[in-house]
Amino acid sequence: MNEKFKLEDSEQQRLEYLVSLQLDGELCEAEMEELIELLSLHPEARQRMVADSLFDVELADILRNGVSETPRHNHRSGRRQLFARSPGGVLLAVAAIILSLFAMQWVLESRDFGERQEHHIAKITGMSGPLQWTGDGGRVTTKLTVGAQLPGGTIEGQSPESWFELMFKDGSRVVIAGQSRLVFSDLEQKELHLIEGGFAASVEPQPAGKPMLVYTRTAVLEVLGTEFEVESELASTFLNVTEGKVRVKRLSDGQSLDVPAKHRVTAAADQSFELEATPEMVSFWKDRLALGPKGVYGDWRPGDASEGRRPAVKSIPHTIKETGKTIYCTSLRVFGGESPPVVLRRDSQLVVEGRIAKKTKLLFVGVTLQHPNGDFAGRFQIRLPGESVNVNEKFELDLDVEDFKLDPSLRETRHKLADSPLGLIVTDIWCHTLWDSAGLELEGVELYEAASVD
Amino acid sequence: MNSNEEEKRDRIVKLAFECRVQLIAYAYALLGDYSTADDAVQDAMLTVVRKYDQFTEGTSIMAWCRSIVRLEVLRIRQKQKKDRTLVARLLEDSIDQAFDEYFSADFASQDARKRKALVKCLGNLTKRGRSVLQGRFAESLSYEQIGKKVGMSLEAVRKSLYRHKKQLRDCVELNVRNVE
Repeated sequence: MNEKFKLEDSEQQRLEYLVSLQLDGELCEAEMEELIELLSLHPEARQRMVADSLFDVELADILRNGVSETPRHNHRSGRRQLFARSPGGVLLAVAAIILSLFAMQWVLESRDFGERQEHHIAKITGMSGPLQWTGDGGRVTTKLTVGAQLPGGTIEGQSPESWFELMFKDGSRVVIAGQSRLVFSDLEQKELHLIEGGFAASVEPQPAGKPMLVYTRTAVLEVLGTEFEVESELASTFLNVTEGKVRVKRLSDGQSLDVPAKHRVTAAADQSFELEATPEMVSFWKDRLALGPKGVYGDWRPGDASEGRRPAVKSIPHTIKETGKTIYCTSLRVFGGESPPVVLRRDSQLVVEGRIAKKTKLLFVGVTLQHPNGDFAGRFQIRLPGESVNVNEKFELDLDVEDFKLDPSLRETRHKLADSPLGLIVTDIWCHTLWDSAGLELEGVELYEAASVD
Repeated sequence: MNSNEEEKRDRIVKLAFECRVQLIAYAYALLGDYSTADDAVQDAMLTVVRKYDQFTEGTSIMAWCRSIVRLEVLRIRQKQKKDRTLVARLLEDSIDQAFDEYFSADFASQDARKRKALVKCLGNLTKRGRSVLQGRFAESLSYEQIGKKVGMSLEAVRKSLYRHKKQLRDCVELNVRNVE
């Protein structure tokens, strides 16, 4: 069975219609065949079949029984009364059991509701891509929705496409983008533990004596009210302050520094702990694949001069649990560390060199962007037909970033995101294939401004 | 029946009852008629009470109940004396596979929010739209009967049902997403 591709919009509409007819018992033979084909080829179609059936059952319950907090499904149509055709005594007992079960169900639901009365400290205000949240008692879920309230816990971005924005009750916002893991809590004082990756924050003034505390492996940050970005690696923490002031303490020797707006610092045991003015933005960038796997998402391989192979990074799979579909992605970190911020301009061109080992239907190249204040601005991408690249031959794509469009998976939150990639800062550059492993490898990535090149 | 057996029966019946909404949805997807599906699940529940001792605790109650409901659906089909074509049977198998794959507790976790949103969205429907849905889901009327009741052609009823259900689904999705 081939289950590789998403339903096209027209197929989606047709599916909805066919499912609706099936639920009304009105499908003709030819339509049945059509529905069978959709159901066998697309997990999405099977999911839809189940979801729409459940939806109608819920709808029927409300229309029959009126509005109640929980479904009842106990109102019988005029055609038949509950157990009416059953012999008396035994089934009366059954009815009694079932009635008592309603009561038990109600009690259990009330108790569950009681358990759900957790102390919510923040709500999700934006998200996309694969994310996982771990809450109290190790409760793990990937089914997060915008608007959901969270009682603290660990949020994990699982691939370069991940983006998550959280707003605390006081309006302070925290954004993770890409592969990151952040523990957050607010027990009268906000505490964030950055286990991996990075985040940007816009923090409202905090109560006196209770600054927001951000812990990494190598530093502790005290934040009173400001905008900043922080990135944590195994042996270093990079902090860039856009507005206000952040106190950073290097854990290896206890030294502290106040980092004012438009300044940055790296806290690492083996580096000088000094303030540096945030450098001016530049419009060029070149990968550092030759230096190793730092800042790379994917399977990094050193080059082999004897075979004329350059160092490269191979895409790795990420399977979306809900759909069972797999994205083969590779990504390079652009923002952070010693590099100045890289901005996209009208004439910016992105050059991507690499190889594929198998034919693919589509190839995606994209950039993750942020505003100068650190706010997530969106992921912009270009979708290229598989024919753009030849199997087992080196490819070189020279792409005009002005042609990049907002990733459609972000359309729900597009009102919060940028309309165009121009003027924004690049945090990551990525490339992926969908559903099938094409053995995608990147050998080189470069961003330049066409106008500045002769 | 000793008290241990009674406890076991109550426990299993209770578990089965918790799957009831999903089981009705399953029967409904197979039968294409809500009332008949509801009847099938009622009968299946009686079978659960009678045959609770055949259920192995620790295995999936949903899968066990679903197999009972499937038998009830077959029984109803036989009673209706409708010849099922090969294609119709294949479609039932495909639907069965869909439920096998996507039946999970996760659906239940969103029920409360979706239900609340659905109630709200129903309030936004036109009187006529609501009458069509009411006729179909609450009164189990045929397209023709609904048409007569609200003054619409058979085809218009079919389209109206489709359109209003879609409108409701979109509205619920939007509400759930924008919750708070």
